Amino acid sequence: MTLLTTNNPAARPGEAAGAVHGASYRDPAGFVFTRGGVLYRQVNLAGREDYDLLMSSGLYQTLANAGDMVTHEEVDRSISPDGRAYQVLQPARVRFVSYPYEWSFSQLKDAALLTLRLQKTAMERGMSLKDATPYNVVFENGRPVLIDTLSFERLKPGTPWVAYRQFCQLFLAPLALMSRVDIRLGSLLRAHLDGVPLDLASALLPLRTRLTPGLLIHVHLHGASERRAARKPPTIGAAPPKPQVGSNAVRALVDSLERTVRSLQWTPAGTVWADYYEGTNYTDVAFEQKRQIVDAAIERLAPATVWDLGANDGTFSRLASRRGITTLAFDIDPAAVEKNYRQVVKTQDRHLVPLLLDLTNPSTACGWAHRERDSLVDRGPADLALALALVHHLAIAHNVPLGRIAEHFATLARALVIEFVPKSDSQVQRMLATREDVFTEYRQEAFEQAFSAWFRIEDAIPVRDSQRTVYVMRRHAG
Amino acid sequence: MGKAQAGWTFVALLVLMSTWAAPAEAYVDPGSASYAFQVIAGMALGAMFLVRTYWSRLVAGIRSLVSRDAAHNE
Repeated sequence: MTLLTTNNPAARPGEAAGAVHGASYRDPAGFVFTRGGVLYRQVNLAGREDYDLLMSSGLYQTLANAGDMVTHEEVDRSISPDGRAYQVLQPARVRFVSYPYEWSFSQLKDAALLTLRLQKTAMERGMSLKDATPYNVVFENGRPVLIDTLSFERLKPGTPWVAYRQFCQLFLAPLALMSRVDIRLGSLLRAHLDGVPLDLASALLPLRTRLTPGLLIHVHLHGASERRAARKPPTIGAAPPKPQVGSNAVRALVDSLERTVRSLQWTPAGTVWADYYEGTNYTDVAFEQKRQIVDAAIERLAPATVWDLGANDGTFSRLASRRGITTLAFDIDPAAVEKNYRQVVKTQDRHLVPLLLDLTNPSTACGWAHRERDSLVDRGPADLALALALVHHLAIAHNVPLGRIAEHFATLARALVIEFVPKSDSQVQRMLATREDVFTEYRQEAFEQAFSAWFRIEDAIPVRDSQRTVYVMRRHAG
Repeated sequence: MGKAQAGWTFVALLVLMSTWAAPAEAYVDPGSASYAFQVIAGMALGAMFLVRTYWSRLVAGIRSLVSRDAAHNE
């Protein structure tokens, strides 16, 4: 399992000689490294046969033509960090690497269906996926794409699918839990980087899921078999002969997984933010003017990347993505992210990626030596962040001081379009209705002072028919 | 998949699970258990696929026979 990351084009220390990515250590067939800010994938001699088969069997071309797999070019082998490359590949640039614990239900489901489609196509070409993990998938051009070129190996007749358990733990179990128990259980992927243990998933799923054949087989019975094996005391002796299985059985297994994944549904409704825009205190005039202010700011700042923090369903994010700007729409609410992703699919938006993010507890660097999965800050900064109707939630609902908000935003983006909502606004009044107002600092002058420490305020535009102000700011140099 | 097929899956797997015994004298880690489980699940699902395929062919054959007889009788 390896991972591409090309988010930060700046060369990091040690990159001159080629720095191996922190997530790229499991697969003896090769690894990913960066050099001069460019990302490469080395094919080791151990991966030679499978790589050659990938290219000669037509599988690579088939998947690349279908848009299911990232394309690459073979480049000069002399840039190998260890001088032992069979090939060095330069994959097409991926704009942002996100992780499955940041995806909505349908994003994880689409990534699961992609993985099964890859396996079926590979089997037709005499190959098989040797790993089935969402960490090998990114959302690029509005759809999931495999980024690990070395995920394929020669199909060994009579051998079960080696990635079956991984698929069940990393795709099927979380999808079943999100669909049949609670959408918030997707966050288990953040605690279990190798996937949700099947015995845990089985225990959490309701009894009636045993009546769904796919879940009965691939989660409940599968989990029970593992539990049973784990209870057996280890004994020393010759390994038992590996069981054999026909290719039709493997094909039937993959078909069954596909049917099960397709049967899992989740409808976004009932969460706090899902219908947020219907419940705001904006008049149509105010909303339209705010839209024009943000649009004009995006045009003037001309960013290459935009992060919309608290994007809800992506209404304002689309002002950037429709200009062809790489846009990430973050929101804390799984329903809002789901709605946004469905809209991305429907409109075939190639530049917008909706992602789940709790700004008060954002994705951290995790995995081996804290280097396998990057934090949100590691993947930035963006050229521009939108923070519309957000600061009062952080400052009042979460008690984050304005100075800390400003400081953190300065690590996330080089420029800001940010809205200040005063205490007199009905939304803030509603937040304060059930709690003591201890927020003496929460004033417009204090807001400007806090952000001036990190940003130069270029514009402060009052929103008509409201008490709100939209600011345009650029981060101080240095 | 209909309820009848779900029932068949359940029964077939229960039978197979009851006849399956992991090698008692060998070290079996959870990954190995998954590997062995997949053989059983794959066989069961493969068998169901064959049953489904031949069942639909059988039904189609009977239907064509019935319709031919009906045509003769008219």
